[in-house]
Amino acid sequence: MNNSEVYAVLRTQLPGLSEIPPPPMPVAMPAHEAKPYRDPYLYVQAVPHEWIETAKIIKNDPRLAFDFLIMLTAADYVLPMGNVQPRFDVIYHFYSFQHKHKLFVKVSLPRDNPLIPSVISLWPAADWQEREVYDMFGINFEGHPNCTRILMWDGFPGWPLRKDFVHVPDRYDD
Amino acid sequence: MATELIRIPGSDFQTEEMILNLGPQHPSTHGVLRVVLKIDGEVITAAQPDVGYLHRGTEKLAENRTYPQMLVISDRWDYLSAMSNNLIWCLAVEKLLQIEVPLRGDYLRVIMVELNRIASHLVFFGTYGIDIGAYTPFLHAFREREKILDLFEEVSGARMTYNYIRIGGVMADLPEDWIGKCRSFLEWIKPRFVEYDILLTENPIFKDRTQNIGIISKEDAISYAITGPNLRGCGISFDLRKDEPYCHYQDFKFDVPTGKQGDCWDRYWVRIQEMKESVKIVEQALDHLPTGVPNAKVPRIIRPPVGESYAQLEAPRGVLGIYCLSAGEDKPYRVHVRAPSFINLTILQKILVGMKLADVVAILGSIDIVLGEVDR
Repeated sequence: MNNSEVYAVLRTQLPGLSEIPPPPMPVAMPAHEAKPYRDPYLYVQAVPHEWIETAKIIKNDPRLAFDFLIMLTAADYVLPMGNVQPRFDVIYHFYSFQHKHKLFVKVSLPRDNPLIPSVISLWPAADWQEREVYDMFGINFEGHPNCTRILMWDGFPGWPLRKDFVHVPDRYDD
Repeated sequence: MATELIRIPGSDFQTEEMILNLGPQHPSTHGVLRVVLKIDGEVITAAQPDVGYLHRGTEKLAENRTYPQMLVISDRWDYLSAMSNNLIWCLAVEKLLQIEVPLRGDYLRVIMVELNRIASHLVFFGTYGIDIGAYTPFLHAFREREKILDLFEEVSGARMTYNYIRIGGVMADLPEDWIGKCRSFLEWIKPRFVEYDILLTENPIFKDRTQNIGIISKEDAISYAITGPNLRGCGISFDLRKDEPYCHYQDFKFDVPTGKQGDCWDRYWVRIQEMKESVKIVEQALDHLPTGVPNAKVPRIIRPPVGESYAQLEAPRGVLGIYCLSAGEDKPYRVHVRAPSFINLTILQKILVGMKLADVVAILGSIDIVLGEVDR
């Protein structure tokens, strides 16, 4: 299925879902400057409180059948970037072995006390990737059986990949 | 006559579960990986891998470095196939910049990446032999790998961290007579594969140690997002070089070997076959190497426009991806590395359960991880 068909299937079951438009072209841009780029996949924005229902439809609907979680990550928008509000984006990238189509899903969370349901029961591949996101951003995954630090050590202060993380100089700094 | 009661010595012993700590300093864990095993006698009842000992904060470093500076760090993820890492970083940035690499540049990249794949699989072949208890294959594998590293040294000046594939093309064109040397290497390595089959592939002891051990089912492989030779060992023919060609891979004729049942031997066998396919690809690339310049025109200061890109390629260990967010600055806003070793290792905690303790090293070795990439 192409992008618009996938979106139509999703949208009829999930009215809260919306498509993320490609980055806008700046007005009066000089001709020699490159245009904003985004991959030609479908990007959708899911609502946090219905994320687990959305995930079930993404995985189990036979027309979608996104059985392969390629990647799971997050991004921190604390600095005003264009007109976006301060927030976390949890980013999922899916692939379907059956239909060979792809999907990007972004779930926006507030920056204070971010919480999102875990999808480990649907895609076990999310296990360590969710732990990595927790480790780096401090985003809690509800329902994850072992949501602990994975790459940093236990007791590390702060969340390193947050944009407002302040590095405390230690003996390794000159 | 009363029946004699036979007492087996030790039959009234109390047995209990035991926690065994494997690693992080253990020669068979291929680096600093720790696995906490819960064992009942010889059988594993639970396994918990513990990673992060080699964490260097690549994604954080990327946010404080310009795009070309990050290329140097990309060498250090999967240090056994640094060319693939260079290439994926360049592909992601080239997508953001929307520049097209000339055909010669693409072919040179394919040659280097495929030679690197052979070198990387050779390390697997050698170290897996050691894991199982055969030392000789290691010496053979490193003799061959040495020749590939010599070829890379001539091209890039380095033997491990090449930094050869650059944004917009490659560092430099091939030195004089490099093609001849590469061809003679390829002719030399072809009969070596027969040696490997005699040494290890068809060795009955090796087969006993690896067949029907550590079986990953097709469903598990997909739901755990296993990629690379581990996925193809389960019988699923998924290879980005065929399914989503990049760098003109559609020009080359090669097969995608797949295993049958997804045990350790299948995964091993797929890698050996992939080396033969890589030889084919390099030969075709050398035969049809286009003339012209290898590099595209790239601005002196790389400042991609606002946007996001996800690039992925088939690295020796699986699908290596870069997700890059650009805010229009000379430094990336956010970089995520989809490291195949990290995601392939997730399934270890599942497939180890029910296996014998002696098979742990065989299973771990067959997944073929590089800790530099797991921890990044």
